[in-house]
Amino acid sequence: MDSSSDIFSVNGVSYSYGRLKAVDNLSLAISSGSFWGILGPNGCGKSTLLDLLARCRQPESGIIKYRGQDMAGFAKKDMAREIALVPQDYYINFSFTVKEIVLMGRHPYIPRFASPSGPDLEVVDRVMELLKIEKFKDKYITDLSGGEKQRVIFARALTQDTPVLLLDEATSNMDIQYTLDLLDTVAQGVGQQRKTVIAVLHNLNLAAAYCDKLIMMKDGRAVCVGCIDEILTEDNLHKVFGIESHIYFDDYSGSKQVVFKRGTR
Amino acid sequence: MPAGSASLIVLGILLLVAVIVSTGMGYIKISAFEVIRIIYARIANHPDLLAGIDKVFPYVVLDVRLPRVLTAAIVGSGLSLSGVIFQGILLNPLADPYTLGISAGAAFGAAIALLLDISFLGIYSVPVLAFVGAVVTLFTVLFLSTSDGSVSSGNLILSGIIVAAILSAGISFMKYLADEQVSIIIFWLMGSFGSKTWIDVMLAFAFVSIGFSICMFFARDLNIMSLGDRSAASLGVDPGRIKVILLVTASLITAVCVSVSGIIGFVGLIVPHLMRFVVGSDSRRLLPASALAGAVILLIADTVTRAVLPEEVPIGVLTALIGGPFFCYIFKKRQKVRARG
Repeated sequence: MDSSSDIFSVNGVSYSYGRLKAVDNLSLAISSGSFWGILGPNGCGKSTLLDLLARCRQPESGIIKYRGQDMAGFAKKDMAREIALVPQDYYINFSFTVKEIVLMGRHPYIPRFASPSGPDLEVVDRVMELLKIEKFKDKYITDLSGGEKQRVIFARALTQDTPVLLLDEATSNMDIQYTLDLLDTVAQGVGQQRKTVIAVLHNLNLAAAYCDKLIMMKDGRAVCVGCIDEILTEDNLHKVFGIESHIYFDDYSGSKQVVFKRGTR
Repeated sequence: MPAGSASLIVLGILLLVAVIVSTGMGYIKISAFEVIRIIYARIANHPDLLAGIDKVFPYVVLDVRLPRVLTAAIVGSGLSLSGVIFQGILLNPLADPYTLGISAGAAFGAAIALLLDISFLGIYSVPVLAFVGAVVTLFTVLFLSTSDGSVSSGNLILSGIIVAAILSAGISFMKYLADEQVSIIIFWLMGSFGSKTWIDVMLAFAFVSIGFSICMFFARDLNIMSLGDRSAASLGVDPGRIKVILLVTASLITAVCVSVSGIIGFVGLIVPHLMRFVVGSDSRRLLPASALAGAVILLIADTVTRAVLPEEVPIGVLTALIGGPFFCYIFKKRQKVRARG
């Protein structure tokens, strides 16, 4: 099951909140150098799976290997140099400046009581420019709009400069131009630097446009896993979401697109 | 960064000036210059420097006023520090030892020690029971406000109020039982720096400075935790472990402050707020700035009740009278920010 190109291999992993089983005996292999999408209805365990991969949570049973080694054996700080997570939630209660927040991404690289080094600050500046937030770098995060905050949080994770990036609906509050811009940036990292992106997305057409591989989840289990061309089908969408849809190849976007019929109710 | 260091230096100088000026204030007026001479004569062990100064002055400065002044300053530091920690950990700018009921818990423990005249731990009896009360209250409040493994801000304040109300009733009951000692408990509860000794100064200083060191050690982790638990964990910080360490530290500081001076509310709420405007939210600057500013503010408040007002008002009453309305202001302002959010 462990092939050398797999960055994660998940074996029989379960996790529950009280009695609610969020991830149920899940096994899958995630190859490196791809843009992975996770699709599924609310409460199917998508975010929990990301948390398990980011090691924010420990599996109750089963084992997750990262590059062939049990994740439980890694030091937290070492893991933070491998995997970054952009959470859904971008609410910050305290008046940090944008630059201070983005610099927090360098935390795993800066020893306690040390000041950020020149290269640390260079990464911060580069990422802020890349995500077009340098113009409000000295503003307080509490004064920004939802979409702007989310871009800052995204920048924070990119500053971590990790081979793996996990996105949990990281663009849900952004205007479409920023959503496309960010996903382009991330996809470029996958194409040019062989980074691995695993993204929970709600928008099926964005998933179709950007992902190479898909995981469809329902009730804490992976219903189907594989290349997007094989997985994104009308049958599978019916199986996972219970909806009727039509899927066709769209020449303009150069990818599959999903359209829906209004319900019969 | 330079802006932050400059404010720290200014605050440090302010504190020094406040200590010297307020030591000179009171029924017997002593000039700042004489205060400095008296302190220096004692430190350098040069009794001849006292020539020309009234024989009573060294006694007033060194044995009466300085212990009180320093205790007020140290308690102000401690309460402000624990305010920064509670706010930072609970991601709630309205949290402080008073609104979370921690002060009431410490007071409850201390009242038991006073009522039952517990003394098997010597001078530490009151602080130890205050600490136990503070920690038990903290975990009760956390338990009440936790659902699905996360603590909600609104629940936290509500739980704090509920627990504090129960504890206040318990304290009232003890007052009822106390009979002869009732005045000791009442006077102590309203907060006072009167008749403090060097033992109080040393006790408070030891705990507050140890607490400060622990907080500074984890200051950067505390910054990271404002991003939320998930982001903090993905940055290699262990939010669970650090929450426990810092909450216990802050409760310890609160307990010592309460046991030395009684309940003094709102200092821990207001000072971190004011300092965020001055030095920003980075804990590495906010913690020292709040410690210094808290010392200055509580010292000035205590000096006002001691030497300016015609009648001595309990310090806890004064801070609540000024701090309460300030709390309302922050609460209202935050609602507006949320609405925009």
